[in-house]
Amino acid sequence: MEPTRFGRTFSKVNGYMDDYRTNDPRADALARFKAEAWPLLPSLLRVAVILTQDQHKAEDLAQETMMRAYRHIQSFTPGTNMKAWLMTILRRVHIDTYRKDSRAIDAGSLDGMAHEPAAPQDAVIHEDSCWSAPDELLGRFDDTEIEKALRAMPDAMRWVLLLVDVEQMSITEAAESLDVAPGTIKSRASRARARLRELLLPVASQKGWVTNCAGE
Amino acid sequence: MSTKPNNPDALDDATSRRLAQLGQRSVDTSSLESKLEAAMADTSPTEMPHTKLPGPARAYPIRHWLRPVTGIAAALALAVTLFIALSTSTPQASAAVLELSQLHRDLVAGKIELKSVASSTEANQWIATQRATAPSLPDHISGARVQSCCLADVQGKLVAVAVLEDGEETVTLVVAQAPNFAHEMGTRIQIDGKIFFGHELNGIRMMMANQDDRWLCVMGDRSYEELANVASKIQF
Repeated sequence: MEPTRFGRTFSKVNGYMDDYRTNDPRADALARFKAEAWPLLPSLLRVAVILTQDQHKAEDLAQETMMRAYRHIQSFTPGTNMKAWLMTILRRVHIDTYRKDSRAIDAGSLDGMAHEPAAPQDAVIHEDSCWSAPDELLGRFDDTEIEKALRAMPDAMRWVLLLVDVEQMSITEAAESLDVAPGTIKSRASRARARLRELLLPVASQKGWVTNCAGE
Repeated sequence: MSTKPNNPDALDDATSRRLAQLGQRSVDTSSLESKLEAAMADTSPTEMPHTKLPGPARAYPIRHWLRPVTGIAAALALAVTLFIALSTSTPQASAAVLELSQLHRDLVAGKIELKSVASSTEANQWIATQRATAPSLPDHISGARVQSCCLADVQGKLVAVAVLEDGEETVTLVVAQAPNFAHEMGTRIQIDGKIFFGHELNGIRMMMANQDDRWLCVMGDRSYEELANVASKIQF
């Protein structure tokens, strides 16, 4: 077979080679989309569920993301990160779709960097006394409580945690997806985790898991 | 390529581990897959392989200028203008301001192909068909109407561009999905709590602001106050 620029990618994927060999642009695009984007469907839906707190809305969000990606699959540069690209589209679709209806998202959840705390020093200082066994304490929160805290965070912080911690993307990949410098991702991730704990602390206090802490 | 954050903070590590558990949950994609299969059957990819942006963006990149004679003349003009700009501002701001002012001039001169639209909604619908990651234009611009739009490349960033009409001279709106895209410096104007920063180059004034995670710039042959007034009425 004559070597082509996508040959190496698709040679890894059984079942799509025939589509690719047709030299039909639409079939090529479909094969490429199926091979590279389709396997990331669970990741997209998982993040969409966290963002929307609703299975149907999450599916709509993920579907629109995938369709937008499919329509533009030929603008995706081979060799670059498909997951980062899809997450960028997901973020744009989420902003475009749900920002229009402020009731659709938690108040303040998309406030962005304008309200991002520069450095929650007070919370960090108090954390030491409250989070002596952080894994144990964090493990006591339901997933829904963690997700609620995530949704209450500024958009820029939330997305760093979604990509780096939830989806385990690298700093480089997250930086590519969010179009910021890797250094920004690192510092923002640290601030975002501190902010998340700050948001969870009152819940822990209310449930009697911690005492004499900030947020009570 | 992969470099997970190397954070010695035990609290951070514990938080990261807890969040990772959210990513390990299984999700049922069967319904979504069915819907996607059906939707894709009626849809074809719209973009040609590895083409530049259609219309204006294809015409805008600097390498397009680098043709014999016109390329040299353009490079000389660019160097002179850049020198003037650099002597009064920081390199990053100057380069962005320079490209933005040229973008406005090209738009006014009709050198850039624009898509005529009746509203920002229609503009965003068109933009969505052009590039998947293109930033969208604001939904509401009080007192002004979006006449036309295009996509362009400024400082290597994909930006959405709209020509606004508010009964006077048209102004250009540029939106980038990149906070702090241009340095916040120059003339500072505050309206309703929002802060705008003005620049001027070759008679083109522009007011820039960060709004959430987006950056916007309104520019034209207007006063800073008038431009800031237009920018202050923009809502995403």
